[in-house]
Amino acid sequence: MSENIRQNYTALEKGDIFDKEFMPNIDSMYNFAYRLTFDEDDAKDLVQETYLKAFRFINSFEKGTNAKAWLFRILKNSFINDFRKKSKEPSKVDYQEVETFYNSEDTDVSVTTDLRVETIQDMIGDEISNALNSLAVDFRTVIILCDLEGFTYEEMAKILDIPIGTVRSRLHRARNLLKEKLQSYAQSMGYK
Amino acid sequence: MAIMFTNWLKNTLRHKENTTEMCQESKKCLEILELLLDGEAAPEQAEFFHAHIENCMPCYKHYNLEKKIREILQTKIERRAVPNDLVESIKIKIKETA
Repeated sequence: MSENIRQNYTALEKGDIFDKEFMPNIDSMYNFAYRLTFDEDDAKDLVQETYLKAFRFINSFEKGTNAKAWLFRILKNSFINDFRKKSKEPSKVDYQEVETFYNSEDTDVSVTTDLRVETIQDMIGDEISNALNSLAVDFRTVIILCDLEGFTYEEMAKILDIPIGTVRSRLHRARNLLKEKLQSYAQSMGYK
Repeated sequence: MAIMFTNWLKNTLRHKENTTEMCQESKKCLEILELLLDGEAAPEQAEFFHAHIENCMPCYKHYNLEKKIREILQTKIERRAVPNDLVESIKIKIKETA
């Protein structure tokens, strides 16, 4: 994702990069967009816009490097700049106390949840999906990037423009929130 | 026979550990546990943790729960199919701008 070195691709090379490095990521891109917007048309628009931007700025992409992370970064920025403004999504989560998680001395590390392996094992995809979708967008995003798309901490830090320490504390918080959701869902459904 | 005895001993020890609630190194363990499951732990951290959960029931249980959560996220959440017309419409738009 080196953005400082400008390339100078020919039209043929641009087409080649676009088809062989950008387009194979469309499935992940669409799924990420859908999980951000919850709407098929919005997701399509967001993906299309991302690909058009990627093509326009293709000279700042170094051939053979991490195209997926590069595209995800554009998509996430497009979402924040264009889509989030329009939506009713609450603007920002307050991270003040969570960002310093691993540095603070009085971190609560107890395994609070009563959630059991057997319980989540029995849940169906929709229930897990709903729990994930109910998280605030910034928490949802880190779980999608890490667990669904398999990005490393370093890649996530670049996609989200935040330090690795923040990636880790946000992930930690996101997973705890997800566990709470799964737990209350399990209770309401009468799982044991 | 020796293996059976080792397993029996492990289970007995685990059972015993189970009655003592907290892990003495919970903060360190939690940090390594997350690194490990996210594929970011150093080899010596992984080694420490795997040895540790042989004797620490809270961490053993926590590890299994966290592992399962990642597993269900990866396997149970259905991926949506890309709409048929999306690729085509992107290509048309690109041609228009190129």
